[in-house]
Amino acid sequence: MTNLIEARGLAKRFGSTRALEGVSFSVPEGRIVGLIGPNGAGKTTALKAILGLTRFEGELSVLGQDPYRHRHRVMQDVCFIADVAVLPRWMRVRQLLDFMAATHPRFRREVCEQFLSRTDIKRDSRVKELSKGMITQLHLSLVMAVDAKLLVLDEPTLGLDLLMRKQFYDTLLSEYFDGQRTIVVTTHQVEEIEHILTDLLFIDRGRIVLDAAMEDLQERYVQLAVRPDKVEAARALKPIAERAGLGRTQMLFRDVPRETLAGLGDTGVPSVADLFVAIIQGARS
Amino acid sequence: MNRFVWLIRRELWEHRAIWIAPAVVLALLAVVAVTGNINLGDVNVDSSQKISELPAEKREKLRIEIEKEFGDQADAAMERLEQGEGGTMLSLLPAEKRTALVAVVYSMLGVLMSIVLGSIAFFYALDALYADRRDRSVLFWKSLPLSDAETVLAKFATAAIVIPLVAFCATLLAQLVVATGGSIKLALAGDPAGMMWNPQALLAGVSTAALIVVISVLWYSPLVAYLLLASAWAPKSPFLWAVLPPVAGMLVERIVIGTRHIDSLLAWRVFGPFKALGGDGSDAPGLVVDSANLPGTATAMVERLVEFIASPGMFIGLLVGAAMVGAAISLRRYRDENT
Repeated sequence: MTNLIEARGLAKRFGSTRALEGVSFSVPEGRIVGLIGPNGAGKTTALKAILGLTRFEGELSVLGQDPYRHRHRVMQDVCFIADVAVLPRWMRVRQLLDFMAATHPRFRREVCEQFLSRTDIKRDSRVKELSKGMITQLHLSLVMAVDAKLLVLDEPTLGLDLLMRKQFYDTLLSEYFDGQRTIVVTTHQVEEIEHILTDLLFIDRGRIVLDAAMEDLQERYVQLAVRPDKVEAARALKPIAERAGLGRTQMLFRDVPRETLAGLGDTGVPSVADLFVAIIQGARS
Repeated sequence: MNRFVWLIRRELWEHRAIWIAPAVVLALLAVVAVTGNINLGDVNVDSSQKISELPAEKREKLRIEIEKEFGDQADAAMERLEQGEGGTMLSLLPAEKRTALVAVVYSMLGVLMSIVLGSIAFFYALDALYADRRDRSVLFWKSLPLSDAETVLAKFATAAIVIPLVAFCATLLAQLVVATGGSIKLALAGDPAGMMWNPQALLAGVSTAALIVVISVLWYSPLVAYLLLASAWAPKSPFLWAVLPPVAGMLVERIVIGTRHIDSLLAWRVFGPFKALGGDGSDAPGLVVDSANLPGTATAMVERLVEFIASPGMFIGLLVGAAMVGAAISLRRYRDENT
């Protein structure tokens, strides 16, 4: 399987603060990767580097090219939604379609028209006349109509309500993702996308603190609802996180065999959000 | 190439003032052409009003003005008017003077349109590489497979070439509007309307408009490049970033060194072509419209401008302009976009 993105020692400094401290990762074809981290962790910087919007140190190749040097070439195969606010507000929907059709070699107008026909978006409306939800639908329709290899989403649903967020990811998954395309997405609403992700990249303070496929996570990490009388025994196995739950103490273990834990309580699959909190706190202490 | 055309089209979609403003001016001209008055000296007369119907006092004033214009033929002209021959003031003038008057009016239309569209080009260029950074839509444009060089060059071409061409076409339309409006007005007053369609006068207007296009592209495009650079650079308020540095430079030079080189450099670049036409106030005399020899006047005008433009200054300007466009492309490309 080929890697669409290869980063080696990717670093970026803003003055004296270091946004990225030499991170290395790769994104293989056909994956949906969640790039997750707290505010200021370096997510957006990493995405900007991938999209050729910022200078960086280290090595980075996107579809075999240096994105900073060859942004406009890389962009033939890469689509990108920053957030709902970036479509030009003065432009009419029809003008957007005309312009995309004329300048983007991979844009399929009929596909876009098809997506749009399922919405209430009028071709003569200006973007500024549309509601936030409609702008998102419009942007998604434009992007999904591009036959791209890589789709980058940076907080694509910021400011949308729950219903629209759900619709956004449902459409993306059912209409766009075909197992060959690759998606990199950052978001704060981890719980809403964890079921669609195939890979997780946790990033904190400019470093990668977790890089794993979802199926491996389920092997390595176990959530345990500890029986009251086994708390001490469970602690002895060095959980990476512990919190008092309703009734039972919840503990998170890494690389402890499930059979060992089974005798101490009920085992389960940790949520990405729990993992995130545990791993980030672990990395910081 | 087709992509480039679409990029320019995009600019015209966004900046509708480029075609709305000249359309408004045309509409206003149509009104003025039909209702406007003609001043002869300090006597303002509705040009469609018959002189025989004027009050005696005004007629006397008019006679003095006509004497200035016609000399010893004044009485004859006045008599013709009194008898109601020939309807309006214009018909009093000798043929070549009328042609010269119309030619000057047509030429001024070119100047008018170039002032209107020149201001639009000014604000367009300041806005071109700034507005989409301000509203973050630059992130959308950068998500398309378009190079920053293409984008910036399309914006440069819009301000430096497309807008002057719009001004040219608008001038031609303005001539048609004024000629038609003027003809209607003259015809209603019982005057020969043909004078508005005098080929010499029309040609003078067209040549002026064409000359303005050439001057705009060859002489003023470095200014466009400068404004685009300010637009690409400015973190806020490109207008101040464009205007303050030269003004500050001028002040510092005046106060600290006591010379005015920056002043004259700017005046030369901004007003040079006009000065060349009007004479620089010292030895070279200003251009005088010789009504008896219109083609001669036009030739003199072209000669002066060509002499002024075809100088090292033009080539240096174009080189500096190219460097500034290059700098604007780099800024557009290498600037970290705030996301």
